[in-house]
Amino acid sequence: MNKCLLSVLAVVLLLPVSGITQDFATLTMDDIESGTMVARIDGQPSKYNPLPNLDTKVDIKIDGMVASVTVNQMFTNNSDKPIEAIYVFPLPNEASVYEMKMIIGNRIIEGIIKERQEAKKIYTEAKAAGKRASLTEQERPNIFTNSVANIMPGDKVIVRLKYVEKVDYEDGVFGFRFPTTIGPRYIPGNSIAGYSGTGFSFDTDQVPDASRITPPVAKPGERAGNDISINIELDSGLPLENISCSSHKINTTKNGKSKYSISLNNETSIPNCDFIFEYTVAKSSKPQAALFMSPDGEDNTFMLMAVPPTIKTNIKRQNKQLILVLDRSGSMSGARMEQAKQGVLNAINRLHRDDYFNIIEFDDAHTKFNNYSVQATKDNVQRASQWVRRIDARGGTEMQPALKKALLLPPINGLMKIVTLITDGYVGNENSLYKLIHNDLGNARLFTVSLGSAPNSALLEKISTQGRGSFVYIGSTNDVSSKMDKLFSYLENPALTDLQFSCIATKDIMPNPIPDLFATQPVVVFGKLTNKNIKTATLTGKIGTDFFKQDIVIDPRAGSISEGITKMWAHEKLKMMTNDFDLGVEDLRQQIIDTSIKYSVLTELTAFVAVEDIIVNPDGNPVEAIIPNELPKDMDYETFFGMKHLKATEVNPPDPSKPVMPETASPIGNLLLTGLLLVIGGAIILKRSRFYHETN
Amino acid sequence: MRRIKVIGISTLITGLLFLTVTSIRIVNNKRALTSATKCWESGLVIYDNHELVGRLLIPGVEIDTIILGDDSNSALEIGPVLVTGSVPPGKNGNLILAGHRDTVFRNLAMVETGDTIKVETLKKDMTYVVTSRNIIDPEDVRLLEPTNTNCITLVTCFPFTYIGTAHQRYIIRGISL
Repeated sequence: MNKCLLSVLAVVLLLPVSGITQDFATLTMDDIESGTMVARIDGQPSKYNPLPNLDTKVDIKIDGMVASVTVNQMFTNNSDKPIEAIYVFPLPNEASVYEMKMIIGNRIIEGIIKERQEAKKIYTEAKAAGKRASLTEQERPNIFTNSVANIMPGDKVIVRLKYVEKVDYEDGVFGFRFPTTIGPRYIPGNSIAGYSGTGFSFDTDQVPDASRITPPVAKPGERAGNDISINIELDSGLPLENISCSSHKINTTKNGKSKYSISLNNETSIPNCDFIFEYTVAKSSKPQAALFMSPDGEDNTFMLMAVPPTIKTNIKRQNKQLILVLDRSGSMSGARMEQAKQGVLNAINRLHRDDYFNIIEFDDAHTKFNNYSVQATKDNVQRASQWVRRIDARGGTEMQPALKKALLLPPINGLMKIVTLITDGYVGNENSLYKLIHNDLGNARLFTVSLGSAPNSALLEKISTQGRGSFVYIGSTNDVSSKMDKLFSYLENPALTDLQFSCIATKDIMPNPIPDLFATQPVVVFGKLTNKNIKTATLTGKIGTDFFKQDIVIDPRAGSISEGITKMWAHEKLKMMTNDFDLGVEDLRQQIIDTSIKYSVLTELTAFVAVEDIIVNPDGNPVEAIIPNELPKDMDYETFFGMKHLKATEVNPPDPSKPVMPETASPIGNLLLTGLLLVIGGAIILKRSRFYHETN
Repeated sequence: MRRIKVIGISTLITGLLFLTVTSIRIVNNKRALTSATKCWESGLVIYDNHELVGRLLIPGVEIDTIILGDDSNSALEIGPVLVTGSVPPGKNGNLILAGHRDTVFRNLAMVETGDTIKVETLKKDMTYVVTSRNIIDPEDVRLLEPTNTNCITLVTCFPFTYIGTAHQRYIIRGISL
């Protein structure tokens, strides 16, 4: 495993452009004109690959709880060679991507959705034939690749993607995130057949597409040459109390009663952290339920949000067995490690005396605070705090064995077992983690705390849902306390479980089953109406061991009409099918492809392709230009990639190379001897002085 | 005249200070070992930032002490430590422990071939019998090499009663029963 990692690092050191591009035409200093973006080719000091300029413009329209987003990626070729640009980029993990267009000047070429291999074939043939073409593929729910072939010198080619997603809502606060960069991920496993993509890692037995999800990262002091601008048109439909953005400085303009325009303070910004945007409704206007309908002619698809009543329960406090799993890998170095440690300290200090806890820290290997869970006595908490404070970040991210150890720790009778994973989620083997949780969760619940300016939220949200838990995000050290409070409000209140949504004249309710809800979380369901003449829906479930039933008044004719509802429903359905497919239900493959094409919603098994019917580069073979991502702003390049990346060791493992005799000399003997000599010396001097005095 | 008196008194006081501080240090180290032992007995494996990896018992010479997992100076002050290159206690191979000759390993001088050495971990107990006693130069690391058989190697400074830095090592080797 370590060999594998070292090889990965060896490859990484050849950044920013991997050796793959060396077969193509390269530039020398004489070829480069002013304003040309280039990438150095390591090992060939005077050779450069041309890079297109990339400007990303993001337009977000938020209407109630639906965000419709248009992402324009403009590739400009300032070099004098035709280019094929390859850009691996992030989108939110709930993004339902439904449209791709390629725009060259005033020509718009509509992308079509096809089975992925078929789309790739169309793209490759167009590239070889010298046509401009673009291909959009999904690698993970939150990682996508755009390839744009035959961008001619002087060309400006825009790839326009559209997606919808629901805006998060909880207890009066709406939230929206837009990721701007992909943090470098740890790839476990051994090398297999080389590279299927253009990333820094080779493909491995555990992550067969590793090279497709590890885009090169700009080195310290270098820029990826990618700027981003973000504009939001917000119509909340409710009076707002506050609009905030914890990640960027923003300008807000009020355009109407509940309408606002928001833009970044600096028009363009370096894409090195997630854009985090929140707005709070006035206390008196907190919505209890909201219904959104698709426009006519789209199967009457709906999205319903409802806040379950806060039921006053006399349920006795449930004692917990809390197992904290802490990521201490290299990617966590710096601020993240401090956030994480603070989070752990916060968690154990909040425990009740009758609770039990244990802590597991991991990098390449993992260590437990204690072999079994201990009671949260003052003494034990103090010892654990000491143990946590000494932790520093290093090594790889072998998350699976540590998580497995936590899930398999014996439960304690009468206590609710809660596993909390604290990490940035920078790993590539998501599927093996999903399988682990599916198989080994037992009666435990799994919560995740995500850290850093650009976490892998797709992984962390999914495993918490799978683990029947929830998810909190800590963006800065200042947030630790408030976010841990939120996590504990989830842990300390009984969850709403076994949720069932029922309503006559509805079908295809998603998600199915409805995940458990914690504290003030609302339920959000998608479905289709067979009849618009309905008045109420019912939500039933359990709080602890008590049953509850809630009637929700709905009026489909009065629901807000929103364009993206059907796409969001399809996304939910495809997500559910993909989960089963990932767990091994192979015959779902064709069904996923068919549904994806029917609703034009992108999945990992399909792709959008657009081809212009003009041959612009008859010679073929454009220069491959791989556009790097920025390093997340709170990450240390050296720690992840460089010499500081130290292999963690188990407790003194055998080192057959060269034993060294330990230094067993104790300072105590020397100290005693020195003391004794000084005393004797002092006494002699005093005696001599008296003698001298007497004889005089 | 007065100057000599002052020098005499300050030398005496410095010497007394050295003796006091060192005595406090000895007492603290003893206390630390007692606390670490209590931790171990109650199932905790960390004491004062040091990992506790096992317990060493040599009944013939009244050695009963906790083993610390890192070979830092602060760990050595408390008790015997696992040396870099050693297998962890309970694992197959050469288990190498080092300790100070004037504290935890003072009684090592009285160990004789045929004596029993026990090592307890949370999972497994091992028993060794002493097969050799060696006085060697620090450069001679042959006894610290990895072994295929299960054995224990206890290292301390030699001579035991030497004042100042001892220039040799006393090594006891035992094999697993």
